[in-house]
Amino acid sequence: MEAGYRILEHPADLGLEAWGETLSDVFRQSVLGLVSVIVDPSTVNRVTQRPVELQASDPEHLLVRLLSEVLYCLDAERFVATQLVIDEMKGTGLKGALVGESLDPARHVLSLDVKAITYHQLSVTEKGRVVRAKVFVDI
Amino acid sequence: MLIEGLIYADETLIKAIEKDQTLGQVANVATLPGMVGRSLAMPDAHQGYGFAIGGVAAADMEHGVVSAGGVGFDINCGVRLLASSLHANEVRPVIEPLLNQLFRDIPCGTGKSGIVAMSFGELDEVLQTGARWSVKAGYGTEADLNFIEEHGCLPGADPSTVSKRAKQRGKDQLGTLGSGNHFVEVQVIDEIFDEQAASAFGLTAGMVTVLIHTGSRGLGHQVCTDFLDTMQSAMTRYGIRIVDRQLACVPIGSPEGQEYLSAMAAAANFAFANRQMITHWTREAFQRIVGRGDLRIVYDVSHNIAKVEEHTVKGRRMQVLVHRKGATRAFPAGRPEIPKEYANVGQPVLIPGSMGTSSYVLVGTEQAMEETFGSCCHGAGRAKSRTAAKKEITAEELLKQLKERGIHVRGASKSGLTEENPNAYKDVSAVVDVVDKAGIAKKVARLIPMGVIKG
Repeated sequence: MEAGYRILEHPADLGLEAWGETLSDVFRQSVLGLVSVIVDPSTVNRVTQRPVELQASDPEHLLVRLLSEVLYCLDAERFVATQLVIDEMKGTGLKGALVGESLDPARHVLSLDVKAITYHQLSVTEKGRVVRAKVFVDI
Repeated sequence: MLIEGLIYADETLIKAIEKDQTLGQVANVATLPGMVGRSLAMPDAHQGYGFAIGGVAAADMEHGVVSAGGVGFDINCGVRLLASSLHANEVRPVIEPLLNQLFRDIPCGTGKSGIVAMSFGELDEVLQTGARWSVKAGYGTEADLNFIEEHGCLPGADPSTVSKRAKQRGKDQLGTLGSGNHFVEVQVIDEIFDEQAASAFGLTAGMVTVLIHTGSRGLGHQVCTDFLDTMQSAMTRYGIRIVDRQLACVPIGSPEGQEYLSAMAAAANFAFANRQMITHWTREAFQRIVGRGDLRIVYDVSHNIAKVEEHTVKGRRMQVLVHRKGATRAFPAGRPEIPKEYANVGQPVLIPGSMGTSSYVLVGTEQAMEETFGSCCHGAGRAKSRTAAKKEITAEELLKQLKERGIHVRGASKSGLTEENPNAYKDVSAVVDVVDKAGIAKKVARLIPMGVIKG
């Protein structure tokens, strides 16, 4: 099954579902999915790597930490990432880099302010040979 | 469930509430340790994450818990009402240049930085002193502070409990409106329901007012993110089990609980300072375009907050931590927390409507103290998802429809506008009628938009 993501409806906010054969696939798709609701990913050049190293209690927690990192980069470092490169992945930790570039208001139109990643209905599951993650964001 | 749930609604609103997970979320909150009284939902309630938006719940200070999710990401998101000395007839001819000026002077929109350069040391002062910092920096006057909930400074704020990351995220965002449902709206008072309260608040029919809706921006979002994370792991140490991870909580008296409350207060102060700066620029824009910038603060209320208050629960006076997640404090006459000018009538309660509809000024009541920990609704409440709202109408059509009704809009983003299309919200008048009839707040005045700027 080809890895991918889709946006889920929520009365006030937005959800994200990502899938793939491995947890790494799902995490990579989640990063892309999150960024795609904020900015058109095709306008972002993947020229800079920003290291990321995270620990967590379980895969769900790790996903929230990773996506929170993406938001932090955007808001505090004004760095927009559309890709996750993974060097090391365990369900409770990952090492790698977020790839993208510095925000350029002339080229990057931010259409949505995602405030935060929530734990509401958060899930990472494996069924058959498909890993799936579901996460809701606050906007 | 450890306590009862109670939902305020009419027949139409309850149908909307039943459609999503609101009822389940009210029940989930009722399972948290140490909750007292009832787990409440206001008529504008809709599904949130963990707590429902429009939820109120109070925890016993001794045995209860504090939940970062019970306050929400936008800590001290709130509303401030300014009253001008102008009649609508004086503003209507210049509404377009006035909006242009406001749109130029108030930084708004997604990812927009503020225009005030700030060091981390200065930011700590903002977090410590709230709106007082803004006044000291030249944004407004000392008299303004009297008309802000908590005088614009929530006690107990400790900047050292706010992470470097939260500060980094918020440093450039002080004095910005943000996006989403945040706005500055120029309005006219259309109807007065309670002459006595309106007169105490200085409101008369035909008067031009300005409603400011914004919060603590990225700083508050990060404080909540940080403490949700902390509470996830700390919770197991305290033997707390919850039904939804977003409800993560810790005992109020625990080091993590105390640290969260100090950081939350700091973020709340950031929001008070933020609304104070936007007030100043609003006054300047009025001065420049209309020639009268003497806008007075009627009140400033927080609708995402947790506060230590004294309430009577089952006949016993006790200190509780009231979580208001999309709910407004609505204290009655005689409470020491409200300005002395309003002591005889009660606290002004500010209810923003959705774009292009009415907003309301209500007044707090004794009944709210008895039933809802002195709380009531906070707005219209969303009824449709943002995606559904966006599909309904184009930005051009929406702007045209509003203009035909005499409402001018300046917005930073087209998709932002359509997501906030008024059809995506419940009927604010129905929401307000429910709280009025239930007696947990009484209607004072209705405000109709003339123009709005949105992020």
